[in-house]
Amino acid sequence: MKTVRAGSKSNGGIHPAYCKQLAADKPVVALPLPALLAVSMAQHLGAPASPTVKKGDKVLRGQLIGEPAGFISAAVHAPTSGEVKAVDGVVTASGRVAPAVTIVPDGEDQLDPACRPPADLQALDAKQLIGMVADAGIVGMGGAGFPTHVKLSPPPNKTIDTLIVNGAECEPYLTADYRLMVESADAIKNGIEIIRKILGARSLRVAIEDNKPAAIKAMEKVMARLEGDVELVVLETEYPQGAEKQQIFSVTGREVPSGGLPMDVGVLVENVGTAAAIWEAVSNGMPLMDRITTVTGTSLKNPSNLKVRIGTPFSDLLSHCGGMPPDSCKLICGGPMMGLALGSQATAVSKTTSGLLLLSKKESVAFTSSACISCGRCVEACPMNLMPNELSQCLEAEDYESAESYDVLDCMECGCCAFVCPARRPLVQHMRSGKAEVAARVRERREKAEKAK
Amino acid sequence: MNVSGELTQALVVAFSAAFTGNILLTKFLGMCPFLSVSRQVKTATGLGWAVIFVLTGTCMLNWAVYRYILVPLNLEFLRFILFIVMIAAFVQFVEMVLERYSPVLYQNLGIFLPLITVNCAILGASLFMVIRDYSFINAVSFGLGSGFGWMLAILAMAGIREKLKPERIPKGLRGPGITLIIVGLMALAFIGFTGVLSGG
Amino acid sequence: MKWLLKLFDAMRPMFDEKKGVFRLFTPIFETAENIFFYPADRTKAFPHVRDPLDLKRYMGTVIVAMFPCVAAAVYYFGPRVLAMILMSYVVGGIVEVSFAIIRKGEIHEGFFVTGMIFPLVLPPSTPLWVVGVGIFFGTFFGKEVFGGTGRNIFNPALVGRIFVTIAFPTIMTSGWDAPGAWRGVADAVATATPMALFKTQHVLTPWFDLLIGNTAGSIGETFHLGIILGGIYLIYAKVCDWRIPAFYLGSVVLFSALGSSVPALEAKVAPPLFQLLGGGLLFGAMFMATDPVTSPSTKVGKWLFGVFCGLLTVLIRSFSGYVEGVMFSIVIMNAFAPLIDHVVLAVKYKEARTG
Repeated sequence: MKTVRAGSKSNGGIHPAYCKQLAADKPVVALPLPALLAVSMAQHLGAPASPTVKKGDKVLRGQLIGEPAGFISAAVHAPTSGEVKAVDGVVTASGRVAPAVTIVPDGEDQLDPACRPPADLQALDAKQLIGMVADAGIVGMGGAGFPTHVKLSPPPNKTIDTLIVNGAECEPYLTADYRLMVESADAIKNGIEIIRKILGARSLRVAIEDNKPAAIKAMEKVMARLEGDVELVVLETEYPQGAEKQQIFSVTGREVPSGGLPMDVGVLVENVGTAAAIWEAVSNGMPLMDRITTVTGTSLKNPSNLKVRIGTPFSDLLSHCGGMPPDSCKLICGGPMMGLALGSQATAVSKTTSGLLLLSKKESVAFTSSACISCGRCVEACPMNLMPNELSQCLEAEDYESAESYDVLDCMECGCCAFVCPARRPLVQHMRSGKAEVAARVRERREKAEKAK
Repeated sequence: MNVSGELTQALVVAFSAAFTGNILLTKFLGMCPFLSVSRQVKTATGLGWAVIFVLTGTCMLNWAVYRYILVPLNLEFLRFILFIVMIAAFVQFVEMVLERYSPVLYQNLGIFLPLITVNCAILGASLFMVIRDYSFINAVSFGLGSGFGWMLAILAMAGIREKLKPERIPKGLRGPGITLIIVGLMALAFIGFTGVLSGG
Repeated sequence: MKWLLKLFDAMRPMFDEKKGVFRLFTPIFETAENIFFYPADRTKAFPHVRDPLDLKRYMGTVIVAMFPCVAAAVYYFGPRVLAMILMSYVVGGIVEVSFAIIRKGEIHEGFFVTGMIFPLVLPPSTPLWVVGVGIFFGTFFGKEVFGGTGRNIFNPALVGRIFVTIAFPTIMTSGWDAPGAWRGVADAVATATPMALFKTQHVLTPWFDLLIGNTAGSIGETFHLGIILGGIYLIYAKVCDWRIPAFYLGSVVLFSALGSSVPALEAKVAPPLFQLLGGGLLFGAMFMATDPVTSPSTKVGKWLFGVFCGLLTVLIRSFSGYVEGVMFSIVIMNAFAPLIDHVVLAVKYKEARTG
């Protein structure tokens, strides 16, 4: 194992104020059991799970309450024992209404006897391991929430030679992955070994930004025992180094083609939190029922890293951290760059909630947007080498044809362009609506072409 | 004059026709197609090539007609009529040839060719050539330079018009109004070339 | 500041866009409010944090960068300079505000820069009414008819400058005050600019005088040391792109070196160092060619823009009837900037278009 600095770096990127010191040194503490848990069935990309329980049912901790409803979907489990109070729709962080199972905990936290360690861990083969990951309902915990078992079973014509484990955590404010690396490096390492076994990937790279020396040290220590082509890659601190395509380029120098997937260049990226969850699922038989979430904000009395059960309302997290200060202006689920502003504190923690950020009036920028002055700062900042200025003007003029030819579909909505825009144009929002429109056009064209055949 | 001297002079004539005495921005000839076909760079490019081609061709043709027919017969006063006839005939002929032998080029230039017949830049160039008493080489380079300058101007205008946001422009100025203001400002800037290689 | 906030709150209903007594002047009220406070509405959508550099600071940086030029101008040419700047702001401001009222839009920060640049590129003895006419033409025809800041094609300050140059040739070319003449420390009251001296008498002004601005010239463009400092500050603050000034100055050096090395042209093309430090080149390259609105937005486009500006500047300076070519070349290239972007983008995205 050796530690190396990343050889390359993709273009663009920005350096916002990181503000990680707020919660970086706070050890992870477990949040007490809340009075009510609202477990959403749509915590992952793809089809929402279909509930397997009904009102009045008694559930045990770790019991399956939602089964995957399709190929790209994930199982959902009860985070504690108790009684199902309702099965109906709740508003998720993204503002959608999704089915959810509301559980009133009985306080006993009784574990489902089905959740037990396997008889012989070493004897399990790749197929069995993927099955265990699927049964545990594990999804990408970095934010996108793509079902992990799907990701771990690439089509047979694609070979994965490199596994990248993402510990970059490039979003400002957030420290959940950092604390996990510092405190549970062993679990991450063990999880990584399971993934390697599943994929048979020859090379392993663990990528961490250089503003997290303690995490680098902790991971170095546990990885020292790993065999084979293993490297800990130290990345330059820059947003968005944690984005998949950017990270693959920084770590391996390979460029994922436009519209392609990491597996097209033989790479698979997993978040450190996912690795730890996989280890928990495989070694102890425990499904994904809780996660580490950073609750932070400069005006917050007591920023912390909390181990919270999925389904805990955000209001519980906030009151644990000292409550809402009077000058609060915005509550954000996730980081300040890509996080979603919340309409209500009643929204619940999901598998992908990496943080809860409270911005005061002073911090949350106020502005009106004005005409583009073509300064080109967004072009410099765009990590995908797009031209957000041209694109946003095309989209404003509803010229979707040009927008398509300027690769609008490559945009990953990282927000770098809007961050630097001095005219404060809503560039990400233009891109989002533009992408939806262009994607619909592309689909329509494809369908037409198929019909013509 | 030796060969290199003549070539230099031809270059100077071409340069001055394209920039110093840009037929559009300093003489304001050929405005109608300039205003109507400058909405998109793509069509402007097509028209630009057509103008270069026709300008050069008619300059050569009219030079010969003037020198070998009108001057010997002392009929110089007929040049206006004859030049127009020659231009129309040339454009018609080119159109027919193109249609027969190069459908692709005809498709690209076809719609512009009839427009060019009434482009006063073409007649203007032929008349300037006569007034300035150019040699044949100079007449050709004058035609080429004028056409190039015209194309440059229409391309710049097309680029600008693609970038303009009509909804912000005062209502009365949208379309031809703002275009004329832009031409005016471009012409203002081209005054800077005054005196640069004024040529022949 | 509390009392001020109260004052604004009390006045707000009067300026209400629909019902207010003074609804005609809503833009002025809003702009005044924006100067002191942040506007009331906030981001609802991500990213929730933004780079502190907004338009206000962007334009402010440009004005700060021009401060050395203004200070030197007052030192060399007297307090009259301040009157010219004031005149430019008043007339330019009236045009901007009237358009904001007609459009029911807001007043943009851009005019603070235009109103500052314009007087700085005028000769020191320009009559105040000419300053007014120039800035009126520049903001009206150069900017407002296109839809205001961010939508103009030509640099409004230069449009005004070219207009007065052509409309009032005698006023604009006669009577260049010698630096320090207003205090009586110069030998002569009026003198010729270094560029004119070279053109008519083939005299090269010493480079040190050019550097510290001890020459006749437009009020803001003689103190080259200050312009260099201001330009470096702009590039350092990432307010202007380094490519345009670098390629502009580089191409002037290249073409003037080429030109002055040809024996036949030696008398016409001045040597590179003199080209760099004489006349308005540095001021133009740092403050006017870099105007993001009127220059290409693609990187390659910026190189091309700079190179062509340089070529045209040398050409016009050396061979045309005008002694200075910077303003003409920048405005000519302004006209071609959209085309340059178009071509660069067409080449860059060629596969996508054809495929």
